[in-house]
This record gives sequence, structure tokens and C-alpha cells, in this order.
Amino acid sequence: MTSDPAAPNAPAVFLNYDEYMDVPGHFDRYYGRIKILTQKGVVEFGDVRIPYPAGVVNVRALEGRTIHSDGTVIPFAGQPYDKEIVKAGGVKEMEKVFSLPDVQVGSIIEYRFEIQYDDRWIFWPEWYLQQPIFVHEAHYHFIPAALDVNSTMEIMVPDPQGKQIPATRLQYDAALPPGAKLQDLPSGMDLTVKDIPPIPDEPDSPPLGSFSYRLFYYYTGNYSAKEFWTGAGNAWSKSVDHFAEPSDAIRQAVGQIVSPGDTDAQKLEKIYAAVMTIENTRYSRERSQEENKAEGVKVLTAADVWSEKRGTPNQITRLFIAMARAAGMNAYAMAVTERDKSVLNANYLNWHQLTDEIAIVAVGGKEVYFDPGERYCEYGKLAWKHTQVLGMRQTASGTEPVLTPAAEYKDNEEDRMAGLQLGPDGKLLGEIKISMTGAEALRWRQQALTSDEEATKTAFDRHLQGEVPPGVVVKTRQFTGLTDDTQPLVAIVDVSGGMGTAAGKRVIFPGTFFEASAQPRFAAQTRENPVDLRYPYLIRDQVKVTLAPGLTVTSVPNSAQIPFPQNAEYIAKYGGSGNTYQQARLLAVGNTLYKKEQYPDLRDFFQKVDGQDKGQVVLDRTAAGSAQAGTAAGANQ
Amino acid sequence: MKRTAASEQRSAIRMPGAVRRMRWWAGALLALGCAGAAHAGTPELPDWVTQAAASAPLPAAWRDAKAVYLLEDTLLTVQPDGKAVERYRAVVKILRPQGRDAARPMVWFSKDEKLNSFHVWSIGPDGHHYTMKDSEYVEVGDESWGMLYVDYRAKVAAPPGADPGGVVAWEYEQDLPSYFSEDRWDFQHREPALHSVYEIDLPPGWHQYAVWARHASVQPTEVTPNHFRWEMSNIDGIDLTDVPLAPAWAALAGRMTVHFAADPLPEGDALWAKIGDWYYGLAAPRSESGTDIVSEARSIAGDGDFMAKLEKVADFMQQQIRYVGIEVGIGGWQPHPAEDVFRSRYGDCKDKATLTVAMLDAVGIRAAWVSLDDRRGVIDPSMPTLFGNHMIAAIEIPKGYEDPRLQAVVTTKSGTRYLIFDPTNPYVAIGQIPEYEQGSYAVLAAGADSQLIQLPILSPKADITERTAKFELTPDGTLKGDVAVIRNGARSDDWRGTLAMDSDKEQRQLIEKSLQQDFSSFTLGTEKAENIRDLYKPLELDYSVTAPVYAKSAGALLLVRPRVLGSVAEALDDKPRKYPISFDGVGTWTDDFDVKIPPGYTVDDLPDPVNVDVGFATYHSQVKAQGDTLHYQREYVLKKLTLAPGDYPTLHKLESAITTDENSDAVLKKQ
Repeated sequence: MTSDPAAPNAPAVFLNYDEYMDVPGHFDRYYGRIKILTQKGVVEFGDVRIPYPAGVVNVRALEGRTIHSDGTVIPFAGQPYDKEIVKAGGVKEMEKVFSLPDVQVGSIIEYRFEIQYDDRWIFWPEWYLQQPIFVHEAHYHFIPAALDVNSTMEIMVPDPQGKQIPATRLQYDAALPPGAKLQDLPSGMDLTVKDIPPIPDEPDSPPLGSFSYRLFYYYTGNYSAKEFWTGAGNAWSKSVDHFAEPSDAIRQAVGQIVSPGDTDAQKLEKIYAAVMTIENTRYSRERSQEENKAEGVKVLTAADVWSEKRGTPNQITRLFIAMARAAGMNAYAMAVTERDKSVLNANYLNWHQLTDEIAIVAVGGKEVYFDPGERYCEYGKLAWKHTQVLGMRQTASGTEPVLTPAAEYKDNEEDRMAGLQLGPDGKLLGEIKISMTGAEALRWRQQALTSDEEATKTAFDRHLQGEVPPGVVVKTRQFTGLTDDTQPLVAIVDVSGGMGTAAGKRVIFPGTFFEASAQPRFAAQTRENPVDLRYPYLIRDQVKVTLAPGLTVTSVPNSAQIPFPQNAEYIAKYGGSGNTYQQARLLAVGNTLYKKEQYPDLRDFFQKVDGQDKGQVVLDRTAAGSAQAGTAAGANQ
Repeated sequence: MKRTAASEQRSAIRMPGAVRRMRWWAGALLALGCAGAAHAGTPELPDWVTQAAASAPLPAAWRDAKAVYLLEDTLLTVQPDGKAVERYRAVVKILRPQGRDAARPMVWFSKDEKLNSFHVWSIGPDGHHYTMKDSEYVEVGDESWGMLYVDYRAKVAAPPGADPGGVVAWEYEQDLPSYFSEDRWDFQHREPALHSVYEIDLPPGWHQYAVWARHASVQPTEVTPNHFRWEMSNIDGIDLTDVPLAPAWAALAGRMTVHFAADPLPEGDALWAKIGDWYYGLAAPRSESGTDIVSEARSIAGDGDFMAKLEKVADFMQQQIRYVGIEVGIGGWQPHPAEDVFRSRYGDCKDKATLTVAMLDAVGIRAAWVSLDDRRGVIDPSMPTLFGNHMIAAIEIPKGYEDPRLQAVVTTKSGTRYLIFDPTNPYVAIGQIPEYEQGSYAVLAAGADSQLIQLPILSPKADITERTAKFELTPDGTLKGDVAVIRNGARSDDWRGTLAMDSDKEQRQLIEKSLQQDFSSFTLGTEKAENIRDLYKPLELDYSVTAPVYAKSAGALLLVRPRVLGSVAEALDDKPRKYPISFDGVGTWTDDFDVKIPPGYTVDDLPDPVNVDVGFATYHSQVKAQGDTLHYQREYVLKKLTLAPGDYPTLHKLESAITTDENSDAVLKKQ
């Protein structure tokens, strides 16, 4: 058998997978039985790698074998190798590696091993039930450590106030496949699951890992989920308030930034601009302890961040909050996930899901969300990965879970203008001006932070070159606003090269300059998962081409409007008279999340847009122009 | 030996539970590590660092550099017993944020290349001096493609103060493996170097022989008896970022290899022969076969003639022996015994070459090893060296034996003909070699016949991609038709490899992705790939496609691109060309497309034919109207693998013609 009806396109399938975790017995046992279905399966599953920390556990009782489809059994008879993966700060991560013998398409490979540890260690499982390949049957068994008073072990966990207390309960967060039931047996917790599909992997997907089947155990005290989130939220809030204390130093700094007559809005804008000048170490370099020590840097509060003029994203966010508070405004922190990586699972009582912090400030009677930890994120906007995410925010009376606001298309605008002259020799000359706000502006500004302006120009050229017609050469002359998020980011680009091709007495060139070489966004006809376009946006184009004498516009593409109700809109207009061709285009995408059932419509919309963008302009060469246009049309030859 | 050109990608079973626990454990141990951090003595900032840091202003030509080596200084000390110890020093100044990448001290070491010391210092942009502690370094293992286990590890450091304007310096001392009698001075980097020094200190009576690649030789100074010093200043960097059709970086960088020995050293070809013979002595004993190999080889090879036997053994080596690398100590050079490889059915390139030699030997065919670097141009005939990154096989062709399938043939100085064969590439038929190996220099390790050879460049006619299609166009612009793509020759290996690894769904997605290049909107109909693993038959890909709105209306006109799909154009830049031009491989591409035009339309204008012959390539294309059909035909033949920088304008001319042709439209008019 080299195919499996349950997993028609799989390189391999788990026939069986077993994890047995006996904490009182100080060992775990693993077993895997995999059917190899394709050559890719041979390559991907022929080797076994068992990660382990040196000096903490032993990998023992390791066995493996390959079973051919004719029943021949070839045992693994060699020695596994202990491979150092990384060693740092006294920690050594190793892998026990071995390769199974004579793995062929159609083989079944089988391996088992145990991990043994002494009684200084205690573990609990975090089981991801979905594997990279289809699983026919998997069995999980967990014998936890005793938590009774006679136990010699004590597991410390944070209480709702953040204080470390002995754990009193074992909890779990389960997202189990339909029909699967976790059993609490006298011998331990037991779970058998069948026919588990692999973790999905499609481009433009939401963070699907957050929705996979799983069973996470963890220890807690005697509190409910609500009590946990309230307590942990309060503890976090307290730490924020401590760090973001509007101390004398902060007040003094704010006093130098704002003027007494400023409105709250003016004050906040000035504070935000000041905070944006702080070096954000995400885009430069985290300093070592020694370095900070040598420089006498100890960042304990927002005042330290201000005085050192550098900080991590969350420290900078807290500095902004401290300053807003010092200016007399109600400012709050909110802890969030990054939408491109994960979403918050409120049933999993683990605060560390919330990795990032943003700020909420009441200004002009309205609460506004800010993202000062994202350097060059515009005032009053969030980086797209922090939009539409569930998180925990501070309030006047504590904390509460809220959803961050979604962006609107007008938050992410691009205006692209081109003024071009098609010369008598067929060469194109001109200038492009692209003005960006929101996500695209942030992307290029942050790229410049990790490199420099010249490298960013080169990267921008590469990006733009993939959109303009073949033969056209773009070179970014200058950026304005690359380090000023209060203004749109503007790129001025020089255009050269050639455009258009000859067909007898005619010259033909792309009707849509900026998308002439772009490809339709979705190629695949079918889709298995939802689509996340990340952020809404609006792109407006205006192009004017002045033609060489002897060339006249005879035909332009038909103007078009392509609606995608509730989701997006496209309008294209073309005009030509005499020796001038003009084109205008608007693409607005308002909705970013699409169910898989909506995929055909989404694909159809973008394909129609691309089809319209590939429309052609036809020019006639007059007798006077023909002699010249012999080269004009052959500009690229 | 590590392959870098991957036709397969591997990962492995990662036990999900174990991965999860790794994080937990690591967190728990981290605190212990910090608490118990040891500090072995590292000397304070040495004078050679401060002196280099105070170097004169940099040459104006380096104004775009991201970082600069202020100093590189290597001293190799060879002891009378042959033990060699290398001391290396570097001082790098960071000029731009991206320059931090050049200022990351790192040294690879292993059981046989013991690291005796490693020190890192830095000077922040503010002038603050830092001395790193041993406990601050990180060790990482080798994660090269295909290598399950390699005993090399690297010590790396992230120095404080490594910001633009800062200076990072490091020094290490390590033993050279006892089996090495050569060392390399890589004086040219991606970043420019202000000053570079290489010294070798030899025992009395010992000999050294320095050879150079990509740089004129420089005479050393004999500082003290048998202590030689080479010195260079103001060495430009080689930055190939965004350089189209660039050769491998290592094929351009200047370097010197110094050979040393107690006995007089041979030179030139004789040294190449010595290197080959040394490797032969290392590998040949590993090819000794037991009865199981002999009987299996005879059973596989059958009773056919030379070529028939070769095909069968090659098929076994390519399809049945998995690529898995395990290297310990000299195992980085010496293959595992053929018996072990045969039994486990896996091995790396040198293991596969060795089993090939053993199996062929069992059926009466003599074969040997070929050491090369699959980055064309890295092995330079002027610089004899042991170093390469790949091992393949050379199979002796019986005198007088001829077969048209024997294309990758090298004739040695002795007149022996060898067929070059790469058993690690499962998608190139024996008789040919992968395009990334063609034209490379290599060392034939064949005992007395050991020598430098140049691997053949196969004929462009031996590597053909043919696309044929018949389409129908409807008045609304919809194009519908069937496409057949036939690929012959070594360069079909990339598609064969991809299709072999892909599921039916992935194969379909692959075709959809390629169609996305040419159609705004399309529906892929049936699709079928044939002969994916039958290397002796052309790879065939057939599919049907429907593309709505393919032809664009323009008033009463309908505009149709006759070059419906597929591109042979290369994207070039308009910068002055400094470096040679390198193509993946030579070959021939032909397109033959018929588009039946809709009733009621006639052809009003056609693009002009294109005929370009630039010597290294020819391009011919024409569109004809034949009755109610537009017929597009083109042929592109690329005949050379590499071009001189001065050929760039000519290449531009060729590529412009191709781009224009590929984007030209025919004009249909409504009657």
C-alpha cells in the first residue's frame, strides 16, 4: 500500500502514536509506527531525532525497525548519536539521532524509546494532538505527580495576585477532536484519538496553530478561570503601574515636551512623537547584561527608559503610558497576542500567551489605541498584527478582556502617481511618486531601521520592479518621511527603460502601469482553510503617459468597476486623446477575514482585477512617426 | 562532504512531547546557568586590537561598505612532529546596521580540530571597551542539509557594543587535523579588508608551496628562517547581493592555499595527482566488498553489456540508497565502509560513491572517486587543494566501447575514458551529470591515474525543453487548450525531483503556480505527469487549461499574446557589470503554440520575427497567420555556462529581445 484513502496526499501517516508519561515512575515512553507512502515520506521520516536536555534526562531503551511490505523486518542495529544542538549559559540542548535502515516507499517504520529522569524533576504534558501527518490512532496516558500533603514534591505556581504558592490542582485545557473523551482512570489520565488530520498549512491563513487539537496540563491553585485571569491581570496591571509610574523624572520630561497651553490631544501627539525617538531594541540590538552594567544602565521604570533613550517594545509602550499619565490623562496598558502568530485561548490559564503590550489613552472624551512599541507606527493606529485581537486591558477599576479595534481601509493607503514620457526612440522616462500611510509605510520604515536608507531603496526598487511593465526600470531617488511617522512616507522613483511592443503599424503597451507585471493573488482553485488578508487597504493610481510625436492613442481598455459587496471594490478608468494616455485605478479591500466557503468569490474578485489590469493600450504610428517608431516599438530590442 | 545543491529536503520526526519539554527544561536550567556562570580568564583588550581600531581613514571607494576588516592576521605554526596549530585574529569595524552580520565571531571545531582558546573583545561606538567571558559564548551544532550527525560545533559570540561605529575583535587558536598538510588564507570577504596577514612558521628543513586563486601571487617575506609572511592591504569586498546571474561567491573570492611538508612538495599537476592519490588511499579500502554486495551487485547488474549493467547499478544507487550524512573526525573525508552503506541503505555522497565503486567492481567494472565542489568555479586549476564539498564517481569505459548515452565522459592524460556519475542525484540518468557540476574542475582519485580533470559541459541539444500547445480562442477572449511539456536531459532533474516528492495535490498546485505567471484568470483541467522516475525517458507533463479574458478587447480589435505561456527571460539590472555571468546550465528551449482565432476575426497585425545570434546564445521567434490559426514558434539555445563581465551589454541585448518577444501581441480585427 503506497496510498491511504484517509490521507490521499500524505507523504506518510502515523498508524499508531503513543505517549505514556509516568511522573511518579520518573519516565516517559514513546512509540511511533509510521507508514511511508511517498518518496517525500522516505526523506522526511527516515531519520528520528529526539531532543533532550543534557544532564536532566536520559534517553534509554531506544529501538527502531523498518518493516517492508513483504514482511521483511530490518532492525536498527547501529548506535544512535548524541548531537549537540546548542549550549549556552550552562544549558545544553542535545538530540539523540539515528536513521532507520532501508526505508522505502511502502515501508512501515517503528521506533520506541524512554526518557528517564530523577526525582528532582517533575513534568506535565502539553500534547499537540495534530501532527505534521495524518494520525490513524494515538494514545496518551499521564500519571501525574501526587499533590497531597504527604508528597515530597512542591510545585510552585503564581496565585491570582502573582505571589508564588504551592500548586493544589492539576488543570487541563483541551481542544479534542469530535468523539474523543479524556478519561480519568485509576491508572491515570487516558486519551485515545483516532483519524486526526495533520496541522493545516496554507498561505494567507490565520494562525491555525492556535486552533489545533491539543491537551495541555498545568498546575494551579484553588481558583477558577475567571479568578485566574482577574488575578493574573491584576498582578500584571500592578507591574505595569509600577513601571509606568509618572514619577518626578517622567513629569519633568513631559514638562519639557509639552507646552502649558496644549490641549490633551496636542500633548499626547507631542509625547508620542518624543517616545518614537527612543531606540527600540527590537530593530537594533538587545544589550547584554555586561553592556548595561558597563554603561550603568538598569531599567526598572519608565524613567530609566527615558533617561537611557532605549528600550524593548513593551518598555517603550509603558513609557508612553507613564508620560500620558504624567500629562494628566487616563492611560492604560493592554496585553495582546500577535495575530500572525497566535490568538488568546482564555481556557488555557497561562498569562504568557499575551506577549505584546499596546496603550489605550482617553483623549478628547474618547479612548484611542496606540502602538508605541512598534517604532514608527502612526499616532492613533495599531500595527496590523495587533488589530482584531483579544487581550487583557487595564481599566480604571482593574482589568478586563477586550478585542482591539479593526483597522479600516483608509488607515492603510497608497497613492501611486506616474508621469511618463514615451520618447521617439521608444525609451520611457519619467517619475513615480508613491505616498504611503499605515501598514506599508510601517513596513518600509521598520525595514530601514534594520538596515539603512540605501538598502531600503534597493529593496523598494525590487518590490516595485515586480509590478511595473516588463522592460521598465525603476530606481528610487529618495524617500521622505522615512523616519517621521507624522507624515506619509513618500518614495520618489526615477523611471527609465522601455515600454510597449510593436505589431505592424501599431504599438501596444500595458494599460495599467503599476500592476502590469503583478500576478493574481490566489492561484489555487481550492481552499481548505480561511483566508486572512492581514489588513484592509486602499490603493489609488494615477498614470499619465505623454507619447512621442507620431504616436496616437487609438484604443484603451474599457473602464470597469468590479464590486465585491461588503468586502472590496475596484474601479479602473482609462482615457486617451492625441498624444496623451491617462489611467486611474482604485482598489479598496475592506474585509480581511474570509471563510473557506468565500474563497471562490475572493479568488474570482482578484482574478477579475488582474484580468482588467492586464488590458492593453493600442497606439497607431502615423507615417511621420513610423520611421522613428521603428525603434520606438523596438525599444527593448 | 556536504552537498549544498539540494534536490530533496529533509526534516525528521520531532517528538512533539520532547520538543515541548525542551522549552520547559531549558527555562529551569537557565537560572542555574546564570548563577553558576564561570569566568575563565580572557586578557584585556590587546594592543593589536586598539592599534587596528585606530587605523587611518578608510578608502573612499568603500563608502557603501557595511563593515570593514581592519585587520586579519593568521599564524600557522607547524611543529617538527607535523602537528600544526593556527592562531587567527580579526578586527572588524561596523559601518552600517547590516554590518553587524560581519562582526559575529565564530569558529568551527571538532574532535580533530581542537579549539585551544577563543577570545572576543569589542569597542562600542562610544569608545567603551568590552572583554567577553567564556560563559557568554554559545555553542551550536552543525545543521547542514542532509547531515544527520557531524561532530563539528561552532563557538559563537554576540559582542556588546556591536553597533555602527563599533569595533569587534576576536582571536582563536586551534589544532589542524593531523591528516591535513595544507591551510588556506581567505583574504577576501564580502566586506573590504584594510590589512591582512598570513604567516607560516615551519620546522627547519620543511617546505612550503603557496598557490593562489582569483588573485595574482604575492611573494612572502622570510621573517626568520623558515618563517614566511604574506601581507596584503586594501582588499575590496565582494558583495553579490542583488547581482543577477552571479557565480558562486566562493568562485570569485581571492585566496591562497599553502601546502607544507617535511619532504619537497610537488607542484602543479603533480600536486593535484598527489592529492588524488592521497584520497584514493583513504577511500579505496572502504570499497572492499563482502559476499552480500557481490551477489547483490551481480544479481542487479544482470548479464547485459557495459551500459546495461551501469544503468541497473546506477538505478539501485539512485533509488535505493537514501542520502544521510554521518561524519565523525576523519569521517568528514573518509567514506563509511561500503558494507555498512549497503546494509543500512543510506549514506552521504562519498558513501554512495564508494558503494558505487564496490558494486561496479563486483561486476567487473572499474570505478574511482571524483572530488569536486558543486559551486562551479570554486576549484581552480591554479590552486591544488583537497577541499571541495562533494564526491561522485568516475567509471572506466572499456576501450573501444561506444554508446550515444555516454555523454559525461572525461578522457584522462593516460587516455583512459571515464564516465562521470553522481549517485546522490536520483533524477539525472547515468550518462549525464547534473548541470551544477558541468564545467567544474575536480580531482580524480584513481590511484596512479589520479589527476585534475574538468567535468564536461553537455551539449545544449542534450538538454531540451519542448512546449507544444493547441488553443482555441473565443470571441469573448477565452483561451482554451491542451499543453504538453517534454523535458529531456540533466536539467529535467529539478522538475523530476519536485514532482517525485509532491503529492497529486501538490503537483496540481505546482502547475497552477506556474500558470499564475501567464494568466490572470484560469482553470486548470486535467493534468498528468509521466516518466517522473524513469530517467531514460523524457519527463512529460500534459494538462489542459482554460483562461477567460485572455485576449483583450480594444474597440473592434482583439489583442492576443502568441507566446501564451512559459518564459526563458532573465531579469537583469542596469548597473555596470563587475563580475562574470553564470547560468545554471546550457540547453535548448522550444515553443510551438497554435491559437485558433475566433470566427469573424482576421489577423490585422503581427509582431515582427526576432532573430538574435550573440554567439553564446541564439533566439529565433516568429508568429505566422496560417488560415484561422496563429502559429507561434521559437527556439532559444544557450551554449555557454559562463560569460565575461564584458559580455553583459550583449546579454542585455539578447534579454531585451526575448522580453519584447514574450510580451508582444498579435492584433485581430473583427471583419
